[in-house]
Amino acid sequence: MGTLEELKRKIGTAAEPIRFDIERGLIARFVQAVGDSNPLWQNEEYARKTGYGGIVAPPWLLCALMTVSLPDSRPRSVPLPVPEVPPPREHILDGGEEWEFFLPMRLGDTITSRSKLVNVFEREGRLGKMLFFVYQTSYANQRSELVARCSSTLINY
Amino acid sequence: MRQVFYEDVIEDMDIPSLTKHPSTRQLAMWAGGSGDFYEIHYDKDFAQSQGLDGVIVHGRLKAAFIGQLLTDWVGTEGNLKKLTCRYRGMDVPDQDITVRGKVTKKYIKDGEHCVELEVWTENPNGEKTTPGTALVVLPSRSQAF
Repeated sequence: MGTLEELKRKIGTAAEPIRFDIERGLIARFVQAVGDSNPLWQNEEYARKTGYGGIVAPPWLLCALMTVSLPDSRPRSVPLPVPEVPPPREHILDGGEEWEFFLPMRLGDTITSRSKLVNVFEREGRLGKMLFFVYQTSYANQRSELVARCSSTLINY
Repeated sequence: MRQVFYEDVIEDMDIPSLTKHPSTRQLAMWAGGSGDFYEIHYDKDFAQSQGLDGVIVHGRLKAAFIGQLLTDWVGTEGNLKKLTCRYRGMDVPDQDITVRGKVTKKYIKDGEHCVELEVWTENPNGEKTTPGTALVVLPSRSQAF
């Protein structure tokens, strides 16, 4: 199981969509974890006077929300954008991401994220032969407007 | 916060840096909020069994720090459009992570005042542990008045 050819056949596999509501509690938790005191994320009076007209969630919130409430929460495992195709080797490193932000997320929005596996390839690296899993995730609001998109890479060796 | 405008920006300039000092408590909060419960971020014994000296900071938390650097800088009239980062080096909690950005290019495209930057996090030895790039749109004084 898990040869490169077999994995390549899984390209295109999509994960179950994940839904989350942009509410004050969610924003507050992440703002505290990051230590970001920008009033635009929490102070309605301040936010109303800006061009946004009200509280918006920080765009970086999506960096965390890619992994929120994933059903796959086995011990000693990395959260996977597409748990249906687990990387076969022992170690996983988060390689990095490319984010595009299109629209603000407002209080009361419901965001749906959809991830799919878009590429798997092998490359010789510092740690020997490494598998690269590339995922694409889109984030849409309740009006089906595209809010953001992310391409992310996991390294498996 | 003072609003930065497109006209204030020159290529090669540094933007104001941000110093973070994430505690293990913050890592636990991030884990709880994000659902990334991978033990290398809060279980020292497990982290050491993986060949690490101790727990390490979530890559995505560092991406969020870079996000904060940029949303602080662009203010309420600017917008973060793109952010790319690579997790090249590991960072450990309870020490400074300095988040920096440098303007690489500015131009007007489709009526938008665009600024491209090189962004990164830096450990106390000055090593870039999370290099990346960003694209932001800033307001212009010519539009403001």
